Amino acid sequence: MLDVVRMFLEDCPIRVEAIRAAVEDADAARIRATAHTLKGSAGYLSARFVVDAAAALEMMGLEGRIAEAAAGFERLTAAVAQLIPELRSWLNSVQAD
Amino acid sequence: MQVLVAEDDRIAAAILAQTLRRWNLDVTIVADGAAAWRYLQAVSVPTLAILDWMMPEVDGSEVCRRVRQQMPLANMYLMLLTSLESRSHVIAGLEAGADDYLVKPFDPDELRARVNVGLRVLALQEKLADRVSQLQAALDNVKQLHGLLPICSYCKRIRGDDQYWQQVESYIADRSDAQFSHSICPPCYAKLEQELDADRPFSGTGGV
Repeated sequence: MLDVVRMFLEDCPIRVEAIRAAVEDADAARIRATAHTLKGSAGYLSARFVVDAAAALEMMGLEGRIAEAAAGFERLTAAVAQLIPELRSWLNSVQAD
Repeated sequence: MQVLVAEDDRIAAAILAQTLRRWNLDVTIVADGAAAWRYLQAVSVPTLAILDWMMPEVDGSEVCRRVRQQMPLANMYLMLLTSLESRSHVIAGLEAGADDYLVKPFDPDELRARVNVGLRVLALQEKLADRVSQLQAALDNVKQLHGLLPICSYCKRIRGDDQYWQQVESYIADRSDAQFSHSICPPCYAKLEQELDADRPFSGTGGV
C-alpha cells in the first residue's frame, strides 16, 4: 500500500495537468481518456470524491459536453487538493512508525 | 502459471501484480495494448491475460479480437479489466473474445475467484490438447494400415513404401500395436502331416 500511495502522489499532479491541457484544448476524447486514468488510480485508494469528479469529467468527454468541462475540472482539482495532504499525512505517519 | 497484466496505469498494474504474485503466479506487466499483443503472439505456454480496456495504441478488446481471429487454437484465457461498468461494454468485450471481465477497482476476493476459473479452464484445455495429440498419434498408426497393399500371391509378403517385401506379421507389427504368436491352424496341420508322411521312407509300414 505504501508503494501505491507513493506512486499516486508522484503521478497525480501529472495526470491532473494532462486533464487541464485536454480541457483547455476542448478535446473531448482526451478529457475522457485522461479523466478515466485518474479515476482508475484513485479508485484503488478509495478516494471517492476524486473518483466521482473524474468520472463526471470522463462522462462529459464521452458525451462531448465540453462547455461543462471547466466546471468539472474545478471540482476535480478541489477534490485532489483535499486528498493529497491526507495521503501525505498518512504516509508520514506510517513511515514514522 | 503465466499471467500477463496489460495496464497503462502503473498503480493498477502494481496492485494487480502484487496480488497475483501472492498466489504464486508468474506475472509479466506491459503498459500498452501493442506490447500485450506482441507478448501473446510470442508466448507458447497456456496464459491468462488481464487486459485493461482503455490502453494506448491498441485497446484491450482489440487485443481479444486479434487473439481470437489470428490465434484461434491458442490456449489463452482473456479477462478484460474495465471501469466501464455499462452492460453494453461488457457485452462488447465478451463478443470481442474476452472470456471474462472485471470492474476496476477490483475486489481481491472476486479477482481470485475469477482467476481460479481461468486457471481451471486453461488446465482443462491443456489436458484436452494432450488427449487430442494422443488420439492423433493413434490415428496415424491406423491410417498406415489403410489403403491398397501390394501382396505376393504366393508367399503373402507385403511390399512396403521402401519397396522391401516384408512378412505380413512384421508389416502389421511395424504399423500397429498388434503382436503375433505363432501356431498352426488345423487345415495347415493336416496338410503338413500329409507332406511329412509322404517324405517318410517307410510310410505305412509302421516305421519312423
